[in-house]
Amino acid sequence: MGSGLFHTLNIGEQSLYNTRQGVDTASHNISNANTVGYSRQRVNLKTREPQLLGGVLAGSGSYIENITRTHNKFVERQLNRAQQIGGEANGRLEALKSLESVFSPELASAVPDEITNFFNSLQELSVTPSDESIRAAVLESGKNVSLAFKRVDGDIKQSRVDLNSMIVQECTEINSRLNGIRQLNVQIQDAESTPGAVANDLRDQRDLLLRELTGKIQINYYEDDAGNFCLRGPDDTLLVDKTSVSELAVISNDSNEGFVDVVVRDPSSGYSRNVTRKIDGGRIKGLIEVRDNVCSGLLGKNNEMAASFIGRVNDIHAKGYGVSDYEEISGRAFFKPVSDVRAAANEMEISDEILSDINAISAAATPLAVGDNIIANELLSLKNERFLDDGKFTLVEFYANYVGGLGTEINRSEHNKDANDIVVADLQAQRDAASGVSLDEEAINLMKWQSNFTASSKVITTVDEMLETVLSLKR
Amino acid sequence: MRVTENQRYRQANDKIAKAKSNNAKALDAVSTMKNIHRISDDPTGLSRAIRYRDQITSLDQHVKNMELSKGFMETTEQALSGITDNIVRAKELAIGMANDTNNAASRDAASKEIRQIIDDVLLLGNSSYNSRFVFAGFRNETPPLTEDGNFTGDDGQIFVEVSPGTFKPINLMAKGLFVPNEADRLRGHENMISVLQNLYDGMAENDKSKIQHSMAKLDFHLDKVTSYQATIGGMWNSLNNAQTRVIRDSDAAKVTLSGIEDADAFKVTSAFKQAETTLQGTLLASNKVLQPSLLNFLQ
Repeated sequence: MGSGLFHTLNIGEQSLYNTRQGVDTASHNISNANTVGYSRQRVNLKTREPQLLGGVLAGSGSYIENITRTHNKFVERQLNRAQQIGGEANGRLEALKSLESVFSPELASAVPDEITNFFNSLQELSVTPSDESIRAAVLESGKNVSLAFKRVDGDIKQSRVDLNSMIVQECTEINSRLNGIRQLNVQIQDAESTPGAVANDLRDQRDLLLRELTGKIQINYYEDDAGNFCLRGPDDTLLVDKTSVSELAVISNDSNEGFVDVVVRDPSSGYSRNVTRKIDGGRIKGLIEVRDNVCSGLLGKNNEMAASFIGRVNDIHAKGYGVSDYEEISGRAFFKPVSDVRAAANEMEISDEILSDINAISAAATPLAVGDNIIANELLSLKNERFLDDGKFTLVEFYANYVGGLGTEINRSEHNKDANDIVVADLQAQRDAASGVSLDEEAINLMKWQSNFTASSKVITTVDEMLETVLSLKR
Repeated sequence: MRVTENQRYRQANDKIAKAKSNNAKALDAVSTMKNIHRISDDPTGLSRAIRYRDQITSLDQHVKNMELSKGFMETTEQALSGITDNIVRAKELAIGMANDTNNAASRDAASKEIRQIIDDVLLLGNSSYNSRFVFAGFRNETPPLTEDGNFTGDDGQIFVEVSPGTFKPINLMAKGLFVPNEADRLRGHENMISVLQNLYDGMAENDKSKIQHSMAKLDFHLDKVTSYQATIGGMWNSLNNAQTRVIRDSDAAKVTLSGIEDADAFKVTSAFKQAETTLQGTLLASNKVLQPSLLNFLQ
């Protein structure tokens, strides 16, 4: 390598190039200051190897070693883990919230209100057993009780349907991200094939996709030596392996009323594994749990209550006699008997005899006694009788208890979510602190590179003048 | 700590969202003055509230029932006291007319009054309240007392629930009032109307011994009516006491429910004020924090 002015000119030129790149990177940072998932980038300069010139080691300027992003993979991993828990809490809360309105205390026609009204109309019947208008009121309040039970049943079932379609939607979104990560694996491989090249922006994108994914479903990941992400999902299924990808598919499960199960399917082998009950984390887990466990539990409670109520009312009612056409006939049910406890709320109806003639309502324990209210009084006693849950609760207590339970559950989920939000926010703040763009900092960087650029230009003009001086020597 | 743009925006965003959400909650509380809007607001309070609300509605119904039942009993009581008055008058007449100083004419005149008394007693025995015959037991849609003093009602005892699980009787088993039981019949007693009818016959036929014979039998019925009167009076008192108790229970339950459900006006308004101030402060501070940048100071 030669010494001399051209060498100096080279140092100046390289320096100009370096500083221009510095300004480029600063403006790249500035323009991405608000880009989600972007990590700030830095131009790393390195001193060139010194050269032995005339017995001295002389410096020969600087060059750009590489451009790197500021990225803390430990914070990233923590953030992903927190997202996993946070996503589940979020999904769970959102799903529970859709159930909360079914039992809103602001409703005036909830199950306990209608039960209270039903017993109040029986009170009136007990005082005046033969009064037509009171009998009609008993019939109406009986209808309202069935409507209230039915409404709870229908609303919860609707929530299950909604949750089901949310689960299907989640699977689609998860698949699109899995595919994105696979594509980015390929692109990063390509981009980094030249030694020293770091695909900062592509890696940012891939990290972002991963972060979105961990909020949705359980993911374990590692980066192999070649820089590929490998993702394992629920039940240790391989979701992304370098450049191959599995997909999440939904199949309807007949033993779960046709609601979907989630399976991981490997498209190349066609092999698929059902992971519905094995998902441990992410939003989809919260949704599945509420759809299958919480909703079924609530439906079960509602049905249990309806079935016991129907059964007890009918047992007592069957012993009694009505008035006029029915004053000598007993053995009637008040509500239609239920075929299956699991369908009790849905099938709850007033029996046909009572529906067609209110005189069939039985208040009397003896035939031909219009003033007899013994059966009406026996029915009244049901209100305070603890016949639900093996004799633990009265009707209203049972309702208050299971709805209170749901309230507590929602409350706990809310606190859980709040706590997780704080953890995620804290980690995000840590990530932002390291990787985020500070405009002040970039302004300083711009000034730094600019003055450097000015100085480098000065080197070149100086060399130019020197060259002229040298050339003029010849004349 | 290195503070970056994203962090500042995120922080401002989060704080404003938080302040707004608190503000909305406070507004909810102020505008409705209720503590519980959703079941998760206070799950234990909610399940207590459900029970209290049920209790209050039932108790109010009980109060209504008892009011009706008291009317029923008051009608019974009035009928009984009317019957007593009539029997007492019949006895006075009997005592007067059993005396030798009265002749056939005055006895005939007295017989007219006895006829009046018989009609009265029949009417009172068939007293009704709210179109139900108070002495008829369960068969209370037909008059229990026939012209000849036979009783067609039954001994059905009507119970009414006065507080959760407690039932109280509201009618008298009146068969024994009008018709003597087997033992008394063997001792020569007859039904109330027959006794009066005999007295009437004695007066009309100017038969002194018949009149005297009726007097003892009248005493038997007088004793009975007064004892029934005492019974219904006792029942009325007991129902009245129960009603007072239920009203008190219902009031107490209302106070408790209000304690669970209703917001403390002072607390919620001051909480609202606080939330409002916080929101304004957050907005103001965010505005100041987000603006300055070195770029503003470079030309």
